[in-house]
Amino acid sequence: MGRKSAKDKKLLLVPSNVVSGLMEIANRQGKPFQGFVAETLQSALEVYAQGYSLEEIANAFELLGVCKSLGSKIVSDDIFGYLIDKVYVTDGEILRKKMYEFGRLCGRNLVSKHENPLVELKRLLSILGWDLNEASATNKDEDVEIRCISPVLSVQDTELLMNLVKGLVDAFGYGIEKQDCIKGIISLRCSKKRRS
Amino acid sequence: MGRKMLAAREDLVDQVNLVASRRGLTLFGVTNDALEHVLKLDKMGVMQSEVVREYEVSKATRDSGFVPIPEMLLYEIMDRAYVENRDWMLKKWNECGGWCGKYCSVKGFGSDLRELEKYLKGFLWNVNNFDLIQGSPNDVFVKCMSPRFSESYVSFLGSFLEGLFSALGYELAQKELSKGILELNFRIAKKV
Repeated sequence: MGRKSAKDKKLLLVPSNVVSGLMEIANRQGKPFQGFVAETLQSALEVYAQGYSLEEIANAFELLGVCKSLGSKIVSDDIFGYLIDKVYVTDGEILRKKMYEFGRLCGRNLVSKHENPLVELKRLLSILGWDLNEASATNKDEDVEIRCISPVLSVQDTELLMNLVKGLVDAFGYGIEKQDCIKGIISLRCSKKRRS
Repeated sequence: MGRKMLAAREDLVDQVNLVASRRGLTLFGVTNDALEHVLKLDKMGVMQSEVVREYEVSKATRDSGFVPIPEMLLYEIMDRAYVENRDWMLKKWNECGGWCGKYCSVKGFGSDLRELEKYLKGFLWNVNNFDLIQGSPNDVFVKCMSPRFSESYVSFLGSFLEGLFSALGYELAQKELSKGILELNFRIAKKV
């Protein structure tokens, strides 16, 4: 059996609407259709080879875009931790307010893109560098219970994270009914705000 | 839903088939997942290759211990630290840059200016003007501008880049820092 050359072709079964969509993009980019399909599959294979999924990458891209558009800066976690330690004692209230405001802005951005933005909570927190053991939003009757747990968070970090989450849920249209916050654990019970 | 046959390179189809069987999926399922994502990303106005590249860069920054911090929070605390602990902070940013320089070196893109620029753009993701320019064979110029940069941030960023380039075997030849503007010239360090 001879070696396969890159020119050999195989047929793939694909939904017609996907084929026409791909043709449209290839035409718009001025690329030959076959080449465009090869490029797409190659890029997908690179993603799979690294152990990711395309969905994961597309979601991360979208959430990173939210952070980027709101003017986040990429900073060493170590330096940020030091800065927080330094300033938190005297200006904790200012920092908490700023974190809340940032959460609200992120939330408003997500609301415009997602039908149920609460689903994106864990992903967004992970993108923002909050490496949590648990971040969940569970429906309880008409309320939503949010839990964030990480044993490595300091008291300051936990309080800042809680304000970020409170800002997010406010933008998602929820009010806080009950809140608990101790080092490494946040628990919020939220209910949908009524429109007056 | 109608279906069509699509001709694709055999070697690629075989690889997709391999991925599918490894993941317990069908060739049809994996192919469609890949192709449908291209359509989804196109609706977002981006190309798949761009998204993959951005993800890799953001992963590299995360692996380097960096996280996105709200700008409004960061400038507040950095300005304070600049007044109270300037030297300590400059040293810390320099060390951080040194670590990242080593990271680039280990990852194999420390000597490729274009790859290095892409990596650094991961740190400066919302800055439109960031360039690494090869001057003479021994010189690299770094230019970065953003009206939003505070004086403290420019100083810290300068120190970070000094650490990074030092780890890559360069020494600082010239430095111009002012609010919103950073210009650095690095030269390959002479071996003692």
